Amino acid sequence: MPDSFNEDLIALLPNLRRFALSLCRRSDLADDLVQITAERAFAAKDRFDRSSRLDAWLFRILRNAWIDHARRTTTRGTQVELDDAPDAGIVDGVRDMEAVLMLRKTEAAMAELPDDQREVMMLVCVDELTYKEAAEVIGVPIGTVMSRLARARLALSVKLGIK
Amino acid sequence: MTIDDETLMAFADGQLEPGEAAKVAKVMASDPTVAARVALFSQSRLAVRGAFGAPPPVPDALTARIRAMAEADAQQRAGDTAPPNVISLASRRRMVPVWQLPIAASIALGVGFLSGWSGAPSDQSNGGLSIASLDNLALVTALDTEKAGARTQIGEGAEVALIASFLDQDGSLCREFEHDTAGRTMVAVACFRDEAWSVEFAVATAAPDADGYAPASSLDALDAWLNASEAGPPLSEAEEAAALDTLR
Repeated sequence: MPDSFNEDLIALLPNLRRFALSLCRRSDLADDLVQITAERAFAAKDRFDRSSRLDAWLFRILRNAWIDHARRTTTRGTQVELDDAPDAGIVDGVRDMEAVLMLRKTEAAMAELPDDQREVMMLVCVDELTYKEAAEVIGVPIGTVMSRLARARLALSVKLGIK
Repeated sequence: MTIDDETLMAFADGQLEPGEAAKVAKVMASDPTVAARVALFSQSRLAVRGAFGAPPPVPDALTARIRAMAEADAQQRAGDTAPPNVISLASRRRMVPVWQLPIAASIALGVGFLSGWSGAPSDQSNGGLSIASLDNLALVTALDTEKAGARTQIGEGAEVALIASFLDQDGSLCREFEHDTAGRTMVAVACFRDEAWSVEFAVATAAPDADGYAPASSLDALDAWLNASEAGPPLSEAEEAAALDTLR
């Protein structure tokens, strides 16, 4: 059965890793989570519903792998500060100092959000999942996604001085 | 008419039904404070999208390992039984290639049978495989009541951590847990059948490193077993709570 599943999955590795980094903030662990996700995805490939978004399905697998890991690791004190955060300022060729500062401020504001709020921000605002898709990834009702997301956006606006 | 923040946010995100969106647009046109609130939700989205716009590059080694997995998967599905030659020894150490799954699964099942866990009294000298029998009341209570993520003491120096709950192919509730005694951690899965818990899988995990971080390889056998036994996806907190309620 020739299909694009494998190539699609490989094309999504940067997105998976970015989501993993936002959850665990440790690049070695993020790499492991991505690898576990790929292993599980290949094994469960036949159960993927082709009419739904592959990234949302993979995010859910990755998130479950992360929860498993977090439950196994009772102490989480040794998280390393993330130093390979996306450097959008350079990638996009933005040289304007003010814009770079805004990016840094946004990254910092995201880092300060509670984990459950940062997670919905990544899924909806960065990876552009719908509320319903994000709710399926996280395994909560859509209303919960919306209230977390609204609280996160309001908190972020205050921190960034958006009025 | 006041519109709540969540509706305004959904409007800004383009996620309202057309009828509802038209209502919001109408209110926005006549009320600048509503328009400003919608703008705030749009701008916060744009700010985050801008800051996290392009994902950082994936390390080449990781991409290579996953490409090897994809190729192994493709070959296996094509009915080619020859092991793919693209997997380096280093990467084999860290994963169970798909073509080895049945073997890994049968080894893991063997461990489960050998441990003699059908409810016989616990025998600590039993080759170190037996961690507890399921007439250990504290363990049974933990399986019956504790949410995934909970960690509780069960007797002297022993702890049980509930990792996840799922349904097996027959729809029986199964619980993955870790059992820690001095220096030894077992990963096990117990399923509730015929009004009692039976341990269906058990394996000793590799020792975690100094950070308490167990590498992915220590759980390969579990993954293989879960795949082989067609376990369902992990239950959400609400689904788990409902499933545990039915045990009472």
